[in-house]
Amino acid sequence: MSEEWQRLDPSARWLFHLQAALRWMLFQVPLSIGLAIMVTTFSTLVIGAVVGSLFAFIQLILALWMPSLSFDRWRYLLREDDILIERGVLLRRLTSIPYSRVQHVDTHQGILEQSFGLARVHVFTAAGVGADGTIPGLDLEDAEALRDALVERGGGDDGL
Amino acid sequence: MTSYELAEDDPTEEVLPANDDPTEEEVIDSEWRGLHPLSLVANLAPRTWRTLRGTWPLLAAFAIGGRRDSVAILFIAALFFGMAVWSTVLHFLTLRYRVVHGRLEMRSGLLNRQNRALDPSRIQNTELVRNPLHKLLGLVELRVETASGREVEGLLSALSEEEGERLLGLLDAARAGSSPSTDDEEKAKVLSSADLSDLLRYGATGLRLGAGIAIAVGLGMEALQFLDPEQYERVPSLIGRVGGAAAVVAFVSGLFLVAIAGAVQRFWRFTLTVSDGRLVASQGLLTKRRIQLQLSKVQLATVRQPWSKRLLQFASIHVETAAAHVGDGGTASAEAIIPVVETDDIGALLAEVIPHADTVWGSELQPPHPRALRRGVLSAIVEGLIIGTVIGLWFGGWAWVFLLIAPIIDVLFAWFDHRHQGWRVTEHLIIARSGYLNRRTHVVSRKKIQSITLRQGPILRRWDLAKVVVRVAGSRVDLPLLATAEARHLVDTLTPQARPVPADGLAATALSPH
Repeated sequence: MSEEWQRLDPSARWLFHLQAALRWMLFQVPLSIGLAIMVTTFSTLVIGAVVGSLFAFIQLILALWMPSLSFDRWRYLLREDDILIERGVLLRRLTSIPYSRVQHVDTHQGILEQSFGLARVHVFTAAGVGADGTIPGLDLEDAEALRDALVERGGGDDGL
Repeated sequence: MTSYELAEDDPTEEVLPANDDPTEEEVIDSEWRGLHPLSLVANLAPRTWRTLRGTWPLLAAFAIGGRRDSVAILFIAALFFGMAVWSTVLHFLTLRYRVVHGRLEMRSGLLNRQNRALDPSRIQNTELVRNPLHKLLGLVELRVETASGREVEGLLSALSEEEGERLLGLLDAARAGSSPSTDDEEKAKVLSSADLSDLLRYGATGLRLGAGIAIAVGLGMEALQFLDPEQYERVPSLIGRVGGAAAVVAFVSGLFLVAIAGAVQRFWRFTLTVSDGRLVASQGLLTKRRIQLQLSKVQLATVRQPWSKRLLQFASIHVETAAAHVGDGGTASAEAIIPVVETDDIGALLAEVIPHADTVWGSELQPPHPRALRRGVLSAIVEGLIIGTVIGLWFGGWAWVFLLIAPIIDVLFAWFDHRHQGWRVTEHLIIARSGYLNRRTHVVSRKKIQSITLRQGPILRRWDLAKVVVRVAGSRVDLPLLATAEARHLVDTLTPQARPVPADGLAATALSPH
């Protein structure tokens, strides 16, 4: 693989949008209703409804806006000795994982990802707090190639 | 030597080839063994306690409520207790272990059978524990930990003392690649020890427990108000009779005594020795522990110097391997804690645990970026306003003055904290210090880094600052806030294989505003 920043598969943008829309409907709308009920108990029904609607509206704007930004910001770079992963919209993160520290690499496909033909790569080290690096929205073949490349480049002193 | 052989032959058991190496022959012990029969007693007590703890709402409902369905509740509690007994018996009957070529193999379970093999090269630390029940029954518990998870991977909960020592010797020999040594005690160099006066100092300065007790007292009062309002009403008059000042003195004295008793119970006759590249910590009054870990497995050492310890001219050092657990904002547990290290001895002791540490301990650290103070002050003002508002709402009237006082105090501490933060990267080590009241200095070898992450939220981005988080196995170290460019540079240079940045990469585009 060449040493250039790699971006996610273009269809991942729509996957991110769909995931955000589902999150909004399944979690944030019920949360807004709960907030409205809570506020109503302290004040009036009208104020509760306004607060709940406002909260839901802000969440909707974020759900429409954030996925594209998230897609644009997520990228990775395979270097000679390590992989760099950059992501995040509000909280931006740049992670360097040396190949020698990679314990194992997973590819994962949820239901939505399967329908888009996409997969997610999780890179695990011995740091022991879940995946140290995650790259979502890759074409399945690319994800598997990345997983194999990371495993092949691994080995040696794992720092334990 | 007591042996508890498996009664029946296991048809699935593999016959391992004989080892030609006479040295390794000595660490082969292919006979399957079981726990000591008294494990039924030793394990039943804690399991029963766990069951009682798990079913306490049911039992409390039965005891207090006296409801018509109390028989049903008692039946359910009895069912849970029966399950605890059954699992204890099953555990004793099915758990078998052996050591083959230094590898600890364990199998257990009846319907869900589990086989586990722990390779000696993967063992992070071993621990022999004798709690009062173990001591009464002449037993020990052996714990073997690897880096793979948050649990103790190899737990043999009740072995005879000789069997525990023998097994530990076999595992140690396999880890060190030699036959069991009999004169380790003679060769061992004592790095640290603690007498009663040391433990008094340690206990008296470890009053974090006090916060927990204060919370417990508060919750108790809330519960009393709910359960028995009459008794609750009598509390102020009882306190009034004793006298407020006396109550405060008694409470603080009690906290001191509890903290000191805790320190004595945990670190009684503490000694830390090193021999053949192995650290051994022995400690404990009621529950005795002997913790062993290979020096090559040490991931991180943390020097803890809260203001009270600095006042008394000592520190505590926590030594962690990959078996340590990560909690919010840092490490939640340590394998070996050295309770008292005189300030002048910290560098020398650190060097025994992490090579080259003595060369940098005591040297000047680089301060955080000056703009980092803005972030600290902003957080302090917000925190102070929240605290002041809560106090004002709770007490009303004059208490609203805390809306002004709390932020000022918080800002003052933020300034002190900023002044005492520091970091330094050398050829071999990373050092990061934080905190004024509760100062901690982390020392980590660069060879142990697992990953490095640079973090920037919107406020930090606006001020061109970034946070660097260095992860080692089982722990993490947060460096003080740095300028973004410097943080980016560290991401590239801290990894074990440092290399230049691609022209279109980090320096130019990473974390750039889109």
